[in-house]
Amino acid sequence: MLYATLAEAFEKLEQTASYLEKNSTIVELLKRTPAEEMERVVLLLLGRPWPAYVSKETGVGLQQLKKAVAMASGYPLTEVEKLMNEVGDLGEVARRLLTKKRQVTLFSEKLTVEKVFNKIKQLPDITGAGSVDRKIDSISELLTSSNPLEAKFVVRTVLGDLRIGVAEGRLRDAIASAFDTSPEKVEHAYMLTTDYSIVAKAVATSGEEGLRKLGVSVGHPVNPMLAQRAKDIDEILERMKEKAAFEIKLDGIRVQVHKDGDEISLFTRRMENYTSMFPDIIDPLRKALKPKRAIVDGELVAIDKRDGKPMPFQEVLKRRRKYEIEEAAEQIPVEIQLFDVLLVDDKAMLDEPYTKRRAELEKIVQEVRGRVMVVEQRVLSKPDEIQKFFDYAVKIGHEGLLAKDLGAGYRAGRREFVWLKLKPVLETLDLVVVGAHYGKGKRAGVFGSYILAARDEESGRFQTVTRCGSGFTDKDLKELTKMFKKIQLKKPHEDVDIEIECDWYFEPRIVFEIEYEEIQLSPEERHTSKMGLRFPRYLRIREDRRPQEITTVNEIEELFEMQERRKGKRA
Amino acid sequence: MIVAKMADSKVWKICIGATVNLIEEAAFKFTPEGIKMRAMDPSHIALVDFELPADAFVEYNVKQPAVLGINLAEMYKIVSRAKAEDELIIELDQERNRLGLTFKGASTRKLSLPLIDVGETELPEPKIQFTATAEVSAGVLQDGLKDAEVVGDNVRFELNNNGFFITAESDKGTAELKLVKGDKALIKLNLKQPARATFNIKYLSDMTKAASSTDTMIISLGTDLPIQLDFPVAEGKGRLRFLLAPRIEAE
Repeated sequence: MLYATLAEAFEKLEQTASYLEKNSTIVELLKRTPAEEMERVVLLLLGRPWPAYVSKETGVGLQQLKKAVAMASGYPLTEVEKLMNEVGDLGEVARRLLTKKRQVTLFSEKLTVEKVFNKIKQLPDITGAGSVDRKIDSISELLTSSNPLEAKFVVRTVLGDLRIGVAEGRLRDAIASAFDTSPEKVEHAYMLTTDYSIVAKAVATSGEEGLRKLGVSVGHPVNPMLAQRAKDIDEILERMKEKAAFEIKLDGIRVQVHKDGDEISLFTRRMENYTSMFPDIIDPLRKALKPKRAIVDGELVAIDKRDGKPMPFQEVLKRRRKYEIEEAAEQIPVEIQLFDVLLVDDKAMLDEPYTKRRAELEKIVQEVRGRVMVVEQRVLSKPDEIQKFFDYAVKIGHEGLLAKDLGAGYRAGRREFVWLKLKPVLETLDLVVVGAHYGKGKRAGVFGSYILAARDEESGRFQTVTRCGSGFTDKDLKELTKMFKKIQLKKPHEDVDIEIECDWYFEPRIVFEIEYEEIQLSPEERHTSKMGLRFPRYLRIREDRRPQEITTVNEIEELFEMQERRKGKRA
Repeated sequence: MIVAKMADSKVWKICIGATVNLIEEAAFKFTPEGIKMRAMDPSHIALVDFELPADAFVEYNVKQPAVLGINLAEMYKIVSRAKAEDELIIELDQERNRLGLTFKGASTRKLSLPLIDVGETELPEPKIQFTATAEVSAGVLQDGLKDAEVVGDNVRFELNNNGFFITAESDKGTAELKLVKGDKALIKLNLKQPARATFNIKYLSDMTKAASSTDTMIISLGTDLPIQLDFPVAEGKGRLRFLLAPRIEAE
């Protein structure tokens, strides 16, 4: 398959903002893609030669890439830099310079998808003496065979900034319509593999049968199962048919542990590889997990060095760093509390009921005190016993309880009513930022308030809930402004319903945790969710939350009802 | 079995030396008729075409054709160890997958290097309608290129009824080399039509630097076409030819 086909599709995708047009462009491209090229095409569509959970980079900086563009086009570096200052996108610079290139080639070889994919994928492997020059050579080799449009996207892909607006959700829909299956089936296969390239290849090769055959495997993170919120103990007992397993709900970092022989990997909820950040837990895990290969689910919690008690979420977050990892491990030791098992050797456990998985988990884990534990759990049916366990959990410093349906399988990537969380207080909300206004006076020059949105579960769209201008330190305001400047848009993002005029709009990507006094129906300011918040305060950025996982409009409505009921009790 | 013996290692040294800066790895084809190698630099701007027929060797014994992948930088390090007028024996050690090079002069020294896997792509022989050729002294050309490098990155070659001209120009200044009819360094000049084209100096100096200044080389040109440089190899029996794509001059 020629790379030109891909580059033309990329250009179309970049030029259109319409969902339908984007969708049909991707569908058309996928239909034209031979099955053996499918994985490469899908990964390149998503902008990297690796699936999202592989933390690799090409390691080629802008400066090196400028040199490659200069070499391939036959222009001096100064010319590349001049044009770069004008247009600000090296991909576009490459396109323009190659349109009027100075250096002729002897033969023009047509670029194939395979060649582009392999060359870019190999870049991190070029190491050692002279590797910078060899990387530049390797890229300029691609660029000299490129037509101007191909060059634009080769450059952007190497930089890791494709900008064609193909998110994973969109790809799911396109794969489904290209291969005549439902988005749900595609998504389910994705939840198990976390890699649309594998999913697309399976369905392109053997249809829905191919999708069914996809399963979990060590090394490929599985989208974790999530919990719904319960109003109270009564709701839990009703939904779970009078009996459920209760586990202590920990306030830490959710991680999926993959063991493959001696190798241990940690993946977060967002499928990021965190293995290198927690060297202190790797060896204990290696010892604690008895099978040769396994995938288990758990929560990393920070432990107070003095008394061995759990510490709040903020503490374990300090362990999420690239530098001074050893020092942090020394100061903030962590413990992992395991609560589920997805794979044991070659046996996938996802379809087994909870009780069987829990029994298997207890069997395969040799606890290492203060390091690797199986989470405390009780099977209960009496409300007063549940209340007692709940009070105990909160007293020893945890968030509350998780109730689990004894017969439910592990539903990868789903948030269903078979797992319910029970927490004491009115919760904070996780909302995505969709717009902002510049501040005045002391806050001039930075964004002074942000427009926040919740997700409408049915349509998947983001609907505004509140305007938040408090809770920020001066430092927050400065840093947030810098961060949002990178994703600012002149018009509202296509996935956002917003009626408020903003100075800038944003891609719905960054999630704030917000606290508030009260939820209101039909507030003064027109919010598309028809709900509003009184006295919202910014707490922090939730980097572990994807926009798809934020508070839903539905949940806010439920919270509103609970709030009104409480008010009624008081009155 | 592959054994090839040449009376003077210099031929091999020039060939490798001129190629090593353009390409990293090359596939050498050993056939009963001789040795061939044709390769392009990664950017597809320059091409090397090397051929040494069996009768250019004192002894040549290749029964089965074989393609040997060679890392040119490693090979160049080895041939650089040859002394002037050393005899050279090239020998394949099939068992250990190595190529041995033996220098015979005052003593006998043997070095070897591992063979590597290289993709074997058949490059077509480009057909270019040159309109002018000239045979010039390599030393003079080398000097002209060095002058041009002082002022710029690119150099213009021109062949017309008056002779052979090299010019370079940039905001740093100008450089010019003239070889007019009658000059001793301009050995031959054949014109169908005057021709001129511009090239990147770096490639040209890489290609020419291995030649000794007493050699001559044949330049073929066509307006805005690639330049072809031919080096005499083994008294004209062999071929060491470079092609370099032109640059488009700014309007």
